[in-house]
Amino acid sequence: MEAGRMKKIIVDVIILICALLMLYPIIWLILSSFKENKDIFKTAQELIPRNWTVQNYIDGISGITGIPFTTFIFNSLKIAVIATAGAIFSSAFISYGFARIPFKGKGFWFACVLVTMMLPTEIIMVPQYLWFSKLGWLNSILPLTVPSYFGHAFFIFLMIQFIKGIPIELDEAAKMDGCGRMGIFIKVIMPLIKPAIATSAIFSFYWKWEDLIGPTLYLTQPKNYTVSIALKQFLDSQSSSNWGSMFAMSVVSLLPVIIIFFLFQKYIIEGISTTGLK
Amino acid sequence: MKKFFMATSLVATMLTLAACGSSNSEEASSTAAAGDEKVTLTFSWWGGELRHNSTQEAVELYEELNPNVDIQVEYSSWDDYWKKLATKSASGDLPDVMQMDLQYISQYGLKNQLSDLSEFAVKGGAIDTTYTDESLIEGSKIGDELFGFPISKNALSMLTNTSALADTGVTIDYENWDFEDWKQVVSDVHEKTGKYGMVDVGDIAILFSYYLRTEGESLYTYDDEGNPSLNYTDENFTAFFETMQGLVAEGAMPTPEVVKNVKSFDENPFSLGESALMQTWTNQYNLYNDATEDDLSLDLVYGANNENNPLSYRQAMFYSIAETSEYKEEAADFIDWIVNSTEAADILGTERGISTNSQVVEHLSANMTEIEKETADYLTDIADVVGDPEAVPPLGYTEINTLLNDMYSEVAYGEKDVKSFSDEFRVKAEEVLADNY
Amino acid sequence: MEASKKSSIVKNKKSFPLMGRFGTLSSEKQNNISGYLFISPFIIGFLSFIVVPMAMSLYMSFHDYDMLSSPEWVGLDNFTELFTEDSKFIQSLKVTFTYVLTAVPLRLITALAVALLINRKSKLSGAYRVLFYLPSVIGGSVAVSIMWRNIFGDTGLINGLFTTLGLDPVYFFKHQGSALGVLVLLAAWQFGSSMLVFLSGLKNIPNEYYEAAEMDGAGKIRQFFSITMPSLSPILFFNIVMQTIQSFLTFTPAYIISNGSGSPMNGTLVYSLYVYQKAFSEFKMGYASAMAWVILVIIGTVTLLLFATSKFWVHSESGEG
Repeated sequence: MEAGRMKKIIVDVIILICALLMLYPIIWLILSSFKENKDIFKTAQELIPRNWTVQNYIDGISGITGIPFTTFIFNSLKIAVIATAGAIFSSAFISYGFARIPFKGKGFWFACVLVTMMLPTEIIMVPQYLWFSKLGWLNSILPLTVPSYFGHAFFIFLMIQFIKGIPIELDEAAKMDGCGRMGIFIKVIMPLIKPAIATSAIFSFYWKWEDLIGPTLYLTQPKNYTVSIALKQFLDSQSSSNWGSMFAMSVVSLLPVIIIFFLFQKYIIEGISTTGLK
Repeated sequence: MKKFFMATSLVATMLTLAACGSSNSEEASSTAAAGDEKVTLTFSWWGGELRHNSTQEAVELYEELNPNVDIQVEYSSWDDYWKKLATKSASGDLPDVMQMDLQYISQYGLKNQLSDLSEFAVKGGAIDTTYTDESLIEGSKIGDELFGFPISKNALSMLTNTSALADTGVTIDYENWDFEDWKQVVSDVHEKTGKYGMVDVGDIAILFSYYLRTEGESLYTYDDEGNPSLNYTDENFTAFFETMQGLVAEGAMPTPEVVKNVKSFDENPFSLGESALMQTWTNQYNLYNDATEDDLSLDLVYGANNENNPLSYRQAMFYSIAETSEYKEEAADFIDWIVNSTEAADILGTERGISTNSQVVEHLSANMTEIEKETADYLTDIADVVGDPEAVPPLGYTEINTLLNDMYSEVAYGEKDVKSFSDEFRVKAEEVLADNY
Repeated sequence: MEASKKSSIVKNKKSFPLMGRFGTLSSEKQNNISGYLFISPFIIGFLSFIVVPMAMSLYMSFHDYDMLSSPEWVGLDNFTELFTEDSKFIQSLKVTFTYVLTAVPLRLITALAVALLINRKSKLSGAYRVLFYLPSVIGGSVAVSIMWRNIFGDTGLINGLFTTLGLDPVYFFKHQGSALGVLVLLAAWQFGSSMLVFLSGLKNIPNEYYEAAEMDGAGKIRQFFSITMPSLSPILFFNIVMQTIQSFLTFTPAYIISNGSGSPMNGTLVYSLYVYQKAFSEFKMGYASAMAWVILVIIGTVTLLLFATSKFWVHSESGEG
C-alpha cells in the first residue's frame, strides 16, 4: 500500500504547513514578546527579534500598583473554575430535560433558552448591574459565577444535540433495569455525552477567562482584578503603551487555557462505542 | 469519578460563596460607618500602568498623613472608564473623587451627578486656588457652577519632526505664519518627499475649532442663559474644509482611517517619520518623543500671534466630586492635597500634564527632563497671546462631534462635497443642540 | 417542536416510572413534573437574572434615558426615529448582515473540513487539534485584534510580503469592503471552536456504522454522505444556529480595530458597535435599548427560520423533533 501511505504523508505535510501558516500571528505574538519594547512595532515585519530579551516578562510579572501578575491570574482562575463547574453540570442536567422528556411548554422554554443569547451584552449589562446592585452583589465575584449554575444556553443546546444522537433504546434498556429519569440521566446519558461536556468545559473556561466587561463592572478593588483587566491596563490610548509587557503577559495568560484544553480534549477524541455500555 | 468531581466542585462553590458573602458584609459595615472617625473615600481614574503605579503611591502617602482616611482606588483604561462610570451613575454609586474630562463634564454636571465645587475652589478654600490660573477656573464653569477642578493644562501646538522636515528643504516661520502659509508648507512637504505634510489626532473638530478662532469665531458659544449655539460662518466652514479636502486628495494629509485605527503613539505616522508636522496638544510632546528616535520640536501653530488670540489653555483633566458623596469636604481636602501639594507632585510628576498650580510647576522644574521643560516653557511663553479658554463642550457634544467627523470622512473619501457637508452639518448640529437645551 | 408534542404524547403510553410517590400519576403528568424538575435550574436562573434586566431594557426602549437622570417617556419615538431617520442604523444592519452571511459559512466550512481532515487516524492528530485550536484560544480579545490590525496595516506583515514580492501595498482599511473583509477573515481564522464541536460530534459516531458500511461495500464518499453527514447534522445545525446568533452580536474585533469609530466611513460599524456608541458615547441608553430589541427580533426570526428548515435535513436518533 505504498501509494496509500505516500498520500497520507503528503496530506499530513499539507495540513502541517496550513497549520503553521494559520499560527503565524500567534508565532509573531510570542516572538514579539521577546523583543525589546521599543522595537516591537519598528521591526513588526521581522519575525525574529534582533535582541532577545526576557525583560518584558520580568516587567509584566511585577504587575500593576504592586499587585503581581500572578494575583490576576489566580483571580481569573478562581472565577473561571467556579463558573465552569457550575455551567457544565447544570447545563447537562437541564439539557436532559429538554432532550428526553416531553412536557407541556417545552417549546416555549427552549425558545427562552435561545433568547438569552440574543441580546447584546452592552444593553443587558446596565439593567443587570442595577439588579445586582439591589441584590448587594457588587464588588464580588457573585455576578460572574452564580448565574452559571443555572445553565448556559450554548451548552444546553449543544448537549441537547448530543443527547439526540443517543439511541432511545439505551434509555429504555436502563428503564427496564429499574432506573428512573435521574438514573437514566446519570448512568446512560452523562457518560455518552462526554465529548459535549468536555467541549463545554473548554469553552466555558475560556470565555470566563477572557471576559472583560463582567470583571470591569463587578470587581472594583484592584487586588481582585482579572487577567483581562490587567492586560488592558498595559495599553492606554492616552499615554505610552507597554506593548512588551502586554504581549509577554498575553502569552503567559494563554497557558492556563491551553492546559485546560489538554486536560479535556482526550474526552473529545475518545470514540464512543455504544455496544460496550453495561 | 463524575460524582466525585461534582461533589468537590459543589463544596468548592459553597465555600467560596460563603467567603464572598462574609467579606461583602464586612465591606458594607465599614462604609456604613458615618459619624465614626474613619472615613472611606472611593477614588477612580483612567490611565495606563505608569499613572496607576504613581497614583497608588500618592494615595498611600495621603493615607499615612491622614490616618483617619481610607482611600479605595479603582482604576481602568480610558475606554472602560466611561462605561463603568455611566453604569455606576445609573445605580447611584459614583465614586467620591473621580477623574473627569471636558468631553463628559457637561453631561455629568448638568444632570446633577457632580457636586458644585465653586465654594471649595477659592483662594484659601478647601481646594486652594492661590496659585491656580483663574481663567481656567472661570473657563471650567458651566453657568455659575464648577463641576470639576482643572488639575492640568495644555494647549495646541505644532509638533515638528525636524529630521523629516530637514529632508524637504522647507522652512517655517513659526512666529508669523498663517493658514495660507501652513497650507503651502503641507503641500510642499508632500511634493518634495511623498510623505504627509501633517497628521493630527483623528478628531477634525480640534483643527476646525482652532481655525475658527484664528478668524475670530468659534465652534460653540453660550448666551447668558447658558444656551449654546454654533458660532461660525459658512464662509469659514467652506474655506477650511475645502482646504482639507484638497490636501487629502493630494495625499499631503492622510484619509481619516489612517489615524483613527492607530491605537498607540509608536504606530502613528508622525512617530514613524512619515509626516513632518503634527498639530496636537502639548502634553503629547513627551509621548511622541518616547515613541520615536527622530528629533522633534515643539512650535507655535499657524496664526498664534494674530490679533484674534486663537491659542488658549485647555483643561487637560479634572477631579470631580460625586453629588451623592457623603464625604464632600474630605474629598475636597484630598483633591487639594493631590493637586496642590509638593509631596504629591514629587510622586506624580507631570504624568497627568503640566499642573494648573504654578507653584507646583516651579517646584518640579528643577527635576524636569528636557522635554518636560520645553512643554512647561511653551505654556508659559504663550501666556501673552492666549485668548479665553474654549467654551465647555455642551450636552450633545459627542453626537455633534461624531456627525462632524463622519461627514468629514465622506468628504475626505470623495463621497460628499463641501457645500452639502456645510448645509447638512449646520442643520443636524442645531437639531441636536435644540434637543438638549 | 409542535409535531413532536403529538408524537410524544402518543409514545408515552409506556410510562417512565419516577422514584417514589409519583408513580401513581398519569405518565403525562409524570413527564410534566420531571420535565420541569430537570429544567428548573434554568427557569430559576432565567427568572432571577435575565427576565428582570430584559424587562428593564424593554422599559428603557420606550424612554429617553441617559443613565444620569430619570428616564423620560417617549413611547415609540425611539423606534420611529430608528426606522425613518437613522441612516447609520441601516448602514450597521448592512454591515452586520454582510458579516454574518460571509463569516459564518466561511468559518463553518473551514471548521468542518479541518475537523474531517484531522479526524483520520494519524499520529499527528493530537498536535493538529492543538495547533488549529490555538488561534481561537487566543481569543476575540484585545491582543489578537491589535495583532490582526497590525498584520493588515499599511506597513504591516501582509504588505511587507507584497512589497518583497514586488506587488503594490493594499490599503485594507481605506475601503469599507476590504476593512470588513479583514474582520471576516479574523472570524474565519478563529474557526477552532467550531472545529472542536465538529470533532466531538465526529467522534461520537460509532465506528460500527462505518465498519458495517465497509462490509456492505460503500466507498468513502458514500460513507460521508450516508453516515457522517446525517449523524453530524444535529451538530452542524447547532453550529449554524450558534455562530449566526453570535455573529450578529459581534463587537470586540470591530471595536478594537477601528478604535470604536467603525471606520472607514462606518464600513466596520457592526450593529453592536453602533449600539455601544449610542449608549455610552452619546448617552442615549433608551435609543440603544430600542436598537437592542430590534436586533433581538431579527435574530429571533432568523433562528426560527433555521429551526423551521431543520425538519428537512437534521437527523435525530431518538426520533424527537
